[in-house]
Amino acid sequence: MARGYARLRERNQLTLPAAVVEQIGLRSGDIVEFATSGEGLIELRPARIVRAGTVEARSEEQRAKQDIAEGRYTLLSSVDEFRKHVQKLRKSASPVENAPKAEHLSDSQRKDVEAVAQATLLKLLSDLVEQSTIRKHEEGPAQRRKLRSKTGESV
Amino acid sequence: MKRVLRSAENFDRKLGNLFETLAGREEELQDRVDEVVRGLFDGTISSAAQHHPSDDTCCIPLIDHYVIVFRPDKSDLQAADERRHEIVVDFRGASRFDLLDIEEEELQ
Repeated sequence: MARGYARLRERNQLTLPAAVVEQIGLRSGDIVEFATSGEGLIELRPARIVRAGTVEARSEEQRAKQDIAEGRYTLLSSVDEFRKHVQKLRKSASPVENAPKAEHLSDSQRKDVEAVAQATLLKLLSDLVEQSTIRKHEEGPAQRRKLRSKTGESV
Repeated sequence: MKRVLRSAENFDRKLGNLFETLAGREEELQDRVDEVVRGLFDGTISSAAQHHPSDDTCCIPLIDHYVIVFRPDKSDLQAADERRHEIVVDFRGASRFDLLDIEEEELQ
């Protein structure tokens, strides 16, 4: 039986004695459960993980099994292979990283192109705002004239 | 014994999403994925709490409350802990693991 001591630190943090961790067989990332008893004892044990058992969860598993059955899987036989596989997954999960880069441009050239593109966009936006303001000014008196003629009001 | 993993597309999709969900902790997740995969390949992970006795699927804690759900091609009922009534599946004899899903689990 392993026994050890630990000092309670700020925010109730404890470091479990290595001998205890080893004997229980805990690993980094494991979850543990604390339970107190009436006699001032604290019991610590590896937490039991219970599946929520939802219909959705079962259907996800079923879907994966179907993937396997129909050949939609990747066969991996080493940690390195799996690592490369994960890198591909991460790249495809972030399309921005996947976007093609203008490799023929130097960094300063790329910055210049970005600055020109930004200025062009700003100019386009400001033109749009200006045109919309002019149109409102022009439409105002015309609409008023139209209303007056409808109601028979003279100028 | 040479072992292989078959990573289902559904598993791949979930794993890719998890890297996005845990943005900022990618390295931690990658390390843990490596650790689990290495354990399955070299046999240091040889048992797990059983998930569904009928389906023979198992699970291993991945990170936070996320677990990897997988199915070994060969497994045996190993033991039932008297106090916790916890059933453990032994898959030391397995040569192939189907990675099926990544789920968020509740603790009891």
